[in-house]
Amino acid sequence: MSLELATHLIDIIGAFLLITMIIILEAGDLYRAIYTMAVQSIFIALAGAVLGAATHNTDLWVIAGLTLVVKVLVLPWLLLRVIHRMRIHHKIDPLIPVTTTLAIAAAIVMLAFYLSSSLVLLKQVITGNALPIGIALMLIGILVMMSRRTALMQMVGLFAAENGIFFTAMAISQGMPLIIEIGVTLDVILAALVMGVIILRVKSSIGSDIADLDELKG
Amino acid sequence: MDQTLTRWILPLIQVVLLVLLGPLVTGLIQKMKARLQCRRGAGILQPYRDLLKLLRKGTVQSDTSGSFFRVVPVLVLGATCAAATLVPVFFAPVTAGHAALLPLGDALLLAGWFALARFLTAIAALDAGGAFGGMGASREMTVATLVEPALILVIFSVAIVAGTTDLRVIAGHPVGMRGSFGAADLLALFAMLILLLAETGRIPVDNPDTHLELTMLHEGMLLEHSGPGFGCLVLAHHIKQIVLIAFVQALFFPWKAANTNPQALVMGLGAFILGTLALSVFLAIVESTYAKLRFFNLPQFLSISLLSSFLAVALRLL
Amino acid sequence: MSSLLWILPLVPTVVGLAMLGVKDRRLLNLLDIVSTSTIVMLVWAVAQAVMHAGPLRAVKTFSADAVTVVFLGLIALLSVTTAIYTVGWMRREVASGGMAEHRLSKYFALTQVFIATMLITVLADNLGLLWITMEATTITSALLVGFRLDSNGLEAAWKYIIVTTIGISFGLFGTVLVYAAAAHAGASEGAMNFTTIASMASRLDPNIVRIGFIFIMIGYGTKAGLAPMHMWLPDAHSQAPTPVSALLSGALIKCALFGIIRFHTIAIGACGPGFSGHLLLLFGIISIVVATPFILTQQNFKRLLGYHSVEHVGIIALGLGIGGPLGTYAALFHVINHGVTKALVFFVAGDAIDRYKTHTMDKIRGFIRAAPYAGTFLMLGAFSLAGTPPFSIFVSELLVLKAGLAGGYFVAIAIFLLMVIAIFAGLIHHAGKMAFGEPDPAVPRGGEPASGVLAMSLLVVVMIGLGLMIPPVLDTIFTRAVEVTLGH
Repeated sequence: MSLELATHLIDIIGAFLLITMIIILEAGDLYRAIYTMAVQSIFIALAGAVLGAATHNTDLWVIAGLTLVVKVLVLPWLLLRVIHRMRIHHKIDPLIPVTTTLAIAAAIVMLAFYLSSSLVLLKQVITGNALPIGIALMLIGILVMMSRRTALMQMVGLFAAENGIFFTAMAISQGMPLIIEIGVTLDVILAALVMGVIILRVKSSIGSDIADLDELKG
Repeated sequence: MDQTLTRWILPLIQVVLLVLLGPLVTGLIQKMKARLQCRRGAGILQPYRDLLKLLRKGTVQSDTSGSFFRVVPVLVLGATCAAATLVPVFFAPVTAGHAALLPLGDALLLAGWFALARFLTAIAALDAGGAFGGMGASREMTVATLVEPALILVIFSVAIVAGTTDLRVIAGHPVGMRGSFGAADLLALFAMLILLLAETGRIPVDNPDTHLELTMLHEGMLLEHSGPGFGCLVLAHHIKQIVLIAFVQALFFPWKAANTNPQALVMGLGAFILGTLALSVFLAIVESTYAKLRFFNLPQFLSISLLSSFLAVALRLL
Repeated sequence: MSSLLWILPLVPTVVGLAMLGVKDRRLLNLLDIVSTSTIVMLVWAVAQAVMHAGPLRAVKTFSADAVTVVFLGLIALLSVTTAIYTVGWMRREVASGGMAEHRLSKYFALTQVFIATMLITVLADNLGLLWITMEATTITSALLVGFRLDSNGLEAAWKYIIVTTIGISFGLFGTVLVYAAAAHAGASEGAMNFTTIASMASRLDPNIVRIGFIFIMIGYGTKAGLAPMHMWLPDAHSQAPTPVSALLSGALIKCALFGIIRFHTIAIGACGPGFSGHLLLLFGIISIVVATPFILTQQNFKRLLGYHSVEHVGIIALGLGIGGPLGTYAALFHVINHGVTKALVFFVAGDAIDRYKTHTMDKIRGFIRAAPYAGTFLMLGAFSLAGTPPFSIFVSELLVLKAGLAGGYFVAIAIFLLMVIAIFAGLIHHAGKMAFGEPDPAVPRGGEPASGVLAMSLLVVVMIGLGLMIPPVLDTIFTRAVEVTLGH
């Protein structure tokens, strides 16, 4: 695959990543958010594969496969299992109105473009909009974590933010070194497990969503 | 002769085609929906029969409404037909950067005609003094405040690369000008598909099949109309739908005939038919698989389209 | 010698795994002490090697220079004193039912793994590994924070893991940017290794490093408890079991500072001392100012200490921000001083809370009568934290002051002094009310565990000793560490 074609494909994948991110941000239902997160991760894996094919960097293929297994299968499965075990309502409780979050997201994208335009050197190395899209994905993922009161949704936001970082890393330097990428993925899985355990523990002992607790103040 | 053909005859054929095929597309979507729901459904010509029936009927009008109420359906139909003259269907010749046809107007005017039609419909609904008409009008206007800016942003995102808002120039450039189908196009298309659902009054924004008072948007406004007037409004809605479908194709899949060569014309027409079929299938599938959203969740849904069209413009400019 | 670098974190890992198979409390305590003492000895050996032979490197991912040695020393000292303190604390906890006997092995194993992750964090040469282990410290310590499984503990653990993970995502992003800058500047092999990047820092694109450092500052700053990203800190510190609180406050947030110092060095090399220094200065002042009102009005003993950590992390950032050899020296020295003193005060707080069965300071009266040793240590610790001589914090705060005045940061120093005076008054007021007076007759008197007294005495000796004089060995290490930090 030629580098030009790869750049074009990465550009298109970037648009899909943004669209999935907007859907996650807007989602009023946990299932939709989780499935969209899985779809977004498929695009991340695709981006890895495309870049791997273009640059003949086998590490990227491994990263793509890893993403496919972990982010598309394992983590969504884990989240769905937690929902199942909790027998919770799947409605997501926004802390601030969703329309406002969407407006903030627009501002974030502007910020991402502003930031990436000052990264002149990097911009020459990668073509297209991969860098600003990566930054925007990460920041919007964090916005999801901060603007939702549902614990599982905060986790979805975390994974989406991580997707953004992976995409950026791929776009600007063909990914981090393989071993580091594996370590980061491992951390994400462990963090997800611990979060899941805490959520279930709170649900079984207190009967409420962990993110609703607010006894600690001052 | 060639001048007359390109300037008058072919554009006229395009408008007539849109007006005539409008009800057919609705019928097609209804049929597909019925099939997806395991019903046999009415024939795809049913909308024509409905229109004929309406045209034969007499008119009943509420006491409170004035004579303006009678004129509105015709004006709405007129505005919609005017909008139909602006979209290329299968023929979009370009000479030296601008369209070789009559400069009737551009994509912004198209949005303007739709806005005018919507405004007139809403005014008439208020004029009739019925509770549902007023409610429908207020809801339709709420939706419009979100739909229209997004529509304009979508137009801008394409116009930025095309260098013009003239749809016939945008649709007329086969290759090269727009480069390849990139991230911004994809985001704009995504936004436009949501707008298509909203503007054609379909689930999840509106439900075209219902007359349950609490769920009506567009239908609520038409409730007080009857007879030929109602027929005009229904026809206008059919036309608006096909115009929007043609509009999506003109913006994002510009495969139009560039000259009067019969082969090119047939190819252009074929592309249009295929595109219309694809978008009809899309509408039918979305209608059958989604539930109607609560009205208070609509702004949330529509702001997705606003945001992604905004992003499309941002990607183009930055 | 360089193989020490990977043996060091291996010790607590192996011991931690072995602990899972042990049920007996005494044996677990013994293993804990053995493992941490081994760490102390290994750290001593590493320090010797670094002193004599310069920086060590192992398997391309670990390295130890003078900065590492400073943080290793702190972690080792606090681990071993915490292990000693845990003996008596755990006996009481098990007796009072606060800790179920069958979960003991898990607790000890997690603590060991937690220590191991902290050790790798400061030993990591690879900045990606630094991030990975930093996140691993969050995961292990979050389990420890919520170990009691009550609703407050779990809430604190959740807040802790979510807030620091959000923060640390920024850190990963900053790391990726700096890595990309290094890769583009021509580092092919080891473009993620600190030693490689630092050696070519002047060739990095300053714009990228600047943006990268902002992300790092927000990311690792969250973990370090710098305001305004400190929301998790008082909760986690107050809800964690006492030995864990001591480790969190004394050692863990310093590990995050270690990450910031690493990138500070890179930023100094790439864009001069101005940018990262001013950012650190800003966050430092904000932390000191934000923490003060919370310290003055706080009623919960452990939360008070949590906010106090925010203030002191602010002071360290201030010292780094003022920069220059003196400011950096003061900051590194303060890392040790604050860690030691804060661990001491947390130990005291653990004793007081068990004795009075309350976190509320108003209900704690006559602590010196009830527990003569811990009560005395409380007053010593309070005076030390407030920054009075002859305690070590006084010295490092004085150095920050001196560096600030010499560097012309008059406004920052004025704010710093004002806040320190206010905190002095508040802290002595709180501590005095707790220490003096007549305790409630229901409160048990005496019966302080020897292990707890021993652990606290060790820390007090260090605290006063460093206040009176800095041993030449330590002075050399600090001076070297300053050189490494400033990139000389």
